[in-house]
Amino acid sequence: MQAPSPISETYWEDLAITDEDLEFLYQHLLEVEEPKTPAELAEALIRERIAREQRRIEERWRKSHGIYRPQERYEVGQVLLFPALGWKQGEVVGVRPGHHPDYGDFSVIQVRLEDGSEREFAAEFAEHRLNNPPRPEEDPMLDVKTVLPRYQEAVAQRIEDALRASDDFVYIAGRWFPKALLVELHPGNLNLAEAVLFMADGGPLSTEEILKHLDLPADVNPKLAAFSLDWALQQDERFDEVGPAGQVLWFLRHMEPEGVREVPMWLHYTPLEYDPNVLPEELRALEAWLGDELSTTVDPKYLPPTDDGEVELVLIYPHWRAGTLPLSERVRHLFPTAYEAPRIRFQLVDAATGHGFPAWVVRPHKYIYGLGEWYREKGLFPGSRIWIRRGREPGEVIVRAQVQRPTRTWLRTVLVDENERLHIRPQNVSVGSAYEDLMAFYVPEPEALDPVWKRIRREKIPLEDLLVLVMRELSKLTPQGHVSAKELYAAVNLVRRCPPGPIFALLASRPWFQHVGGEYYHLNTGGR
Amino acid sequence: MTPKPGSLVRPSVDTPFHIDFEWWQKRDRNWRIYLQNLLCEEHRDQFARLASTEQFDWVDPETAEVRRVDGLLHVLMTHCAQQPEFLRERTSVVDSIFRLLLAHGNAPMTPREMAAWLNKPPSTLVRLLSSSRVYRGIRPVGPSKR
Repeated sequence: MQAPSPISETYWEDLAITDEDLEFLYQHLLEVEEPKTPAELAEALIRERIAREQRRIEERWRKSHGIYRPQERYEVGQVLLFPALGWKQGEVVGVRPGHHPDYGDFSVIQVRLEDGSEREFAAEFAEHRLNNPPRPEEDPMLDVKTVLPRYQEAVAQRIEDALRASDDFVYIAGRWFPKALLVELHPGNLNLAEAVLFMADGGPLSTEEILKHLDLPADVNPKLAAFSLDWALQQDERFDEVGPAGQVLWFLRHMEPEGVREVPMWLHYTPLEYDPNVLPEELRALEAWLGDELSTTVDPKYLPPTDDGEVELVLIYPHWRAGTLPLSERVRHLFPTAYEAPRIRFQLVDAATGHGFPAWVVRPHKYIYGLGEWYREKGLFPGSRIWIRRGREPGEVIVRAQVQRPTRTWLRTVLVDENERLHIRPQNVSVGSAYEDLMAFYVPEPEALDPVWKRIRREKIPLEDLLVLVMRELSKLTPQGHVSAKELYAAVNLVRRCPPGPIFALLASRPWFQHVGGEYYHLNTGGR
Repeated sequence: MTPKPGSLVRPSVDTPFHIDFEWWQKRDRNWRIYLQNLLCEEHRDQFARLASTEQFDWVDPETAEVRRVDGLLHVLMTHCAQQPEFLRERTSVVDSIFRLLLAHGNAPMTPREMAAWLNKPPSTLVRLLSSSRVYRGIRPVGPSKR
């Protein structure tokens, strides 16, 4: 049988961070002079709490007549410690004979505990495990080796919550430190940091690289200096922290590509309300397959497992035009992420050449920027198929297109007339990359589409009107006039950014979109 | 759903039952006599010398805290009902159920669970326990008691 714990069994699970704990953490950081992670702080606090509990028990021990043992005889007025009650203290306030035919002679002491409650305990009772009471130092709940693996993570989370609620601590790149103890950096230091980054084409540079150029006092702890600089740079709008989780890298904000600082026009989307429940099974599965970063209602059962394998994407016009990729649920796990940084700079590698080029994860707007040049080099177009996988180096992502010798083929071509009207016509064009038939559109003059985008936004043309217009155009291209949901999604995105959900909901709920099987629909012109 | 005591909802094979001593002692003045008859030989002698309403000082084996308990019930459940022959005695089905509940410290049991011990079909036990007559305080447990 395990010995009763000197502290409550739920002591660590229920641990609430007190003012005394915050003071301890403050002092601890002051002593070590280094920013610490929540896990490191949790270890320090667990050690401190154990020492504190042991001191509390020792103190009580000193002030008492000893540990309660059932075999002893007690008298009124004696103060005892009760190990099985979390080492509570209690005073004997009465003694009476005990009565139980099976136990033989014994007495019962009435004890007033420190919380004011009165309870009765056996005395002169020969056979009981508490006649050999545990010692506080033997208790597993006060043993760092037992407590740390079990409770460090939970305690770290509590500490994080408490530090976030306090104005006295600052947090950057996964570490905490008292604000008042930061090394003060004057405007000149930050101007110099800006100049250093400027000379490095904007960055990215690590804090340590920037620090080398700053004239900080030699006696400052280097980790504290780096943390203080990180904090100062974070407070200054000129600088952007762009490192993946666990790595702090700085970039000059104004030297970041425009498509990183501002969301490209083709990726702007104002969320549309729709009822996802109207989508039939095949359109739900299709939505998941399309992997649009703006899809919010994708059922995880349709998503492929997020292993380290290659993920295939089909390029739609907005991403092709903006030189971006969607950061959707299907691919998110392949790209670097960060604790806080909204933008992360990383390396994309061309699978065919091994050539690396910089790219950015723009987390708030769910896209990857930096592929425009690569799309042009590979001769990709809306509908091209792209494969993505993790690289060998951490934070590196490999991107692949299936490029072959160009051949001439009939492809739906997007044209705009002088009245800014959209036309989709088959044209014989030269194509040199693998593509998804139903989503492929050749756009000979992308700039000609820009006024159409602007007009649709300016005139607030409803999605449904646009869908009918696009469907009418696409219907002309097949003898039966059937159009797939997949090609409608790709075609609508030629002129406005829209995830599949609202488009599919209209297809599924409006009578003029007649379902003709699978993911195919027919525009019933008589109905509208 | 667990039916409330006295509820009109018909118990099923999964309805938990227990001995409602409070209910029983209010309706049967001889309840202690019945319990006394279930004592083992050693305790029957002991209780012959004691009042059947005697309170005992029970000592908690973990904390050594003392609690005042009904001596007869306590001895019956912690000692006599734990003896191997207690459940083996040839008795009526309802007595067997009563003994089974005592042997389990009066923890609620469903007819399905009882059936495994008593080698009787659960449906027979349900029919017996859901009749209009309550045997020895054996009643369905209220929702909060299990």
